[in-house]
Formats: sequence, structure tokens, C-alpha cells
Amino acid sequence: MMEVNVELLSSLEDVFEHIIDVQKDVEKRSKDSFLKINELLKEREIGLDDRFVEALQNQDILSQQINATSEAMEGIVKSLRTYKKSLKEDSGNISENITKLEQNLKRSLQEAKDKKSAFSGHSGEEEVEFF
Amino acid sequence: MPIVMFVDDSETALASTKIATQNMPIEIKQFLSAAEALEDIGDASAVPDLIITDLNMPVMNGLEFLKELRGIEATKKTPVLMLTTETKDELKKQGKALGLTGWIVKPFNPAQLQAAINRVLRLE
Repeated sequence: MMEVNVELLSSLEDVFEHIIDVQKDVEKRSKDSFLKINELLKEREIGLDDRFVEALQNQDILSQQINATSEAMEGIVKSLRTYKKSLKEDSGNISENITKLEQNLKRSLQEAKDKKSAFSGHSGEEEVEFF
Repeated sequence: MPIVMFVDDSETALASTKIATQNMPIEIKQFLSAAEALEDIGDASAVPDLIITDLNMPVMNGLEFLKELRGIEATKKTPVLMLTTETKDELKKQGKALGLTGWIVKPFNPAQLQAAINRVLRLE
């Protein structure tokens, strides 16, 4: 039973690590693409265009969102590794260790949700406030 | 020409502010971190007339950067605008307590950013 659990956890770790790799690659390619378009617009001396300014900012928001979910998944992988280690070294406390794992996973999810909210910006109405 | 300093850890965000302000009568300085910006302020003979900074940055965030700026004689009273995706009142309150001039939520449109800069620098 314990071996099955460890294998399952290792598979989950691999899946998350793969998704993290893909996300990092997507984030980098997306940023590079926008910067190349920006260079092209500069070279061609194409002036101010609101749509491109908005697109650049949306790329930045997308990038932050992806980073936040990658960080959450890195947290999950870390929790799975800790749990796996505890299965091997502290198998007498399975119930307690599962509770810890559950708490860590919930915390990672909450952090990701908080970051999504923090990195989303306004959803329509522009906001400028002077103090 | 007034100097406007932009600080953001995102290259695309800096590109967007550069395009948005390219027709304004201002000199633009851009930095990818608060540490680089502080280094420039320490070296440069001309301190910026306005600093526009992101909030969520690694190592030193926008509020920590603002606190540093308020501790430097040359930038003690320099207007600072936060340009961020954050909308939390608690963070705005913290900024206000540190002498922040204003808060702009991303994504901005160029006219909105230009108007905010004009208002602070009284260019119009």
C-alpha cells in the first residue's frame, strides 16, 4: 500500500514539474514575442497605438498569472516530497502527515488565488486615485 | 525637460509605459528593479521629477522602494505614483501613509497615464 502511494505521489510530482516547465517556456516565448513586435514597431516608427499598449500590459498580467500558478505548483511539489519522505521515515503518523499535506495543498491554492486577484488589475473601469 | 522614472520588473510593462508617454515633453528613465533605480538616484546629479513604480516586484516591492525614497534627502518630496494590478484598499492606505501621490490600476490607457503625469508635473 505504501509503495503504491509513493509511486502515485511521484507521478503527480512529475506531472506538476512538466506543467511548470511548459508554463515557464510559454511565459518566456510570449514575452519575447511581444518585445520583438515592440522592436519592429519602433524600427518602423509606428507611433502610439492604444491597442498595442493594452496588449503589452495584458502580456505582463498573463505573465504574472502564469508565474503565480507555477509558484503554487512548486509549493505543491514540495509538499508532496515532504509527504513522501514522511511515508518512508515516519509511517506511524500517516494520518497526521496526510492532514499536514492537505493543509499545505490548501495553503498553496489559497496563495495562488490571492495572487490571481492581486495580479488581475481592474476589470473594466479605469482606476486612478490621487491622495 | 522633467525627468520621469519608471520602475517595473517586467520588460513588457516598461515597453508599454514608454510607448504611452513617447510624445510627452519628458525625459524617460526606466529600471527593472528598485535597487537599480536607487543606484541611479544616488549617482545622478538630476533627480527625477516624478517616479512611477510597480508594486509587486521581487526583492524590494513598490512600498519598500517608496519608504527608501522618503529616507533620501533628494527624493523626500518627489511625487511617486504606484502603477499596479493591485486594488486593495489596505495597500493604498500603506502607500498614502508613506506619502504616495497616487495609485493607477493596470491596465491603463495611454491618455489616462498621460493625464496623471500632466496633473502631477503640471505640464498643462
